[in-house]
Amino acid sequence: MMSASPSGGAAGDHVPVTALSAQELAGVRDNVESACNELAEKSMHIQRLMAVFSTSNRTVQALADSQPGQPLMIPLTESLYVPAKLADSERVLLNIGTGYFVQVGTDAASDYCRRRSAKLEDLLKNINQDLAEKRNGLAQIEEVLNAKIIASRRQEQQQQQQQQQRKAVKAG
Amino acid sequence: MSDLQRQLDREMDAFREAQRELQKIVQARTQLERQSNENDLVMQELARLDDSANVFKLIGPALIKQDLTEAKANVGKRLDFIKGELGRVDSQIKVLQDKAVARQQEIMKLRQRAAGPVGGN
Repeated sequence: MMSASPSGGAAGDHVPVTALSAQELAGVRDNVESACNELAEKSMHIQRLMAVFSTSNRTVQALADSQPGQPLMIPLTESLYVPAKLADSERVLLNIGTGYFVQVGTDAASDYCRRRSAKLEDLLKNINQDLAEKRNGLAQIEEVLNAKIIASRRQEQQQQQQQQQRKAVKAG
Repeated sequence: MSDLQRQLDREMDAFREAQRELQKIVQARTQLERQSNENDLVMQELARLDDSANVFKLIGPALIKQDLTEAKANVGKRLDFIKGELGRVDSQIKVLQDKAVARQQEIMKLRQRAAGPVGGN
């Protein structure tokens, strides 16, 4: 949240990364890295949600294909099942969020699952694209950072060598 | 410890406090945003139903039958409330941001003064 570090990410950098000091660069890298992790987590979450909708859709379709009176085993707990008969194979209760449930036909329920899935897919595409860009930026930052570190080490070594040479000259 | 140093410490504390508050309120905003999105989705779904549709609301462990128009009105009201809260939180965020920036500038000024007479360190 420090205003000194650009939170926008490296992909659309306004300041060239080479203009920053190694320390600043490390800060930016950490920021971009955590943004990457966040996006990756979001992407995973959306994929899980999509899996839920696709399972629901398949269940609804299986229900639509069955006849009333079809014997079922209903799980009361994980290990206790009770026998039951299907009373209605055409209508289901749809949980549309914030505690609201609506009774709709299987077609409408299936359509709902597909619509939600499609929306999530769009979102997923955007997030994955964002993620790819951020990762690209991250790689660039790391490259520049490594180059800087190597350069500064080389400078140190040179200074040491020069000092030793000077000492040698004095001694000689 | 010099007077300047004490003043700097005080400003730093104030700045951190402002940052903490800002963080808290940004979190609240995300939460409101999420609620707004969810209610929007519910509203869209309710709008697709025909008038004869059965709507239930989960109250505690029970599903209670609701009138569709009433449900729409309730979700609409909820949405309005959330939008209002979002506006309120947004203006709060702005105030806190300005405060944090002002503190930061003050800190920089104090630091410069602290470094100035000694000739920097």
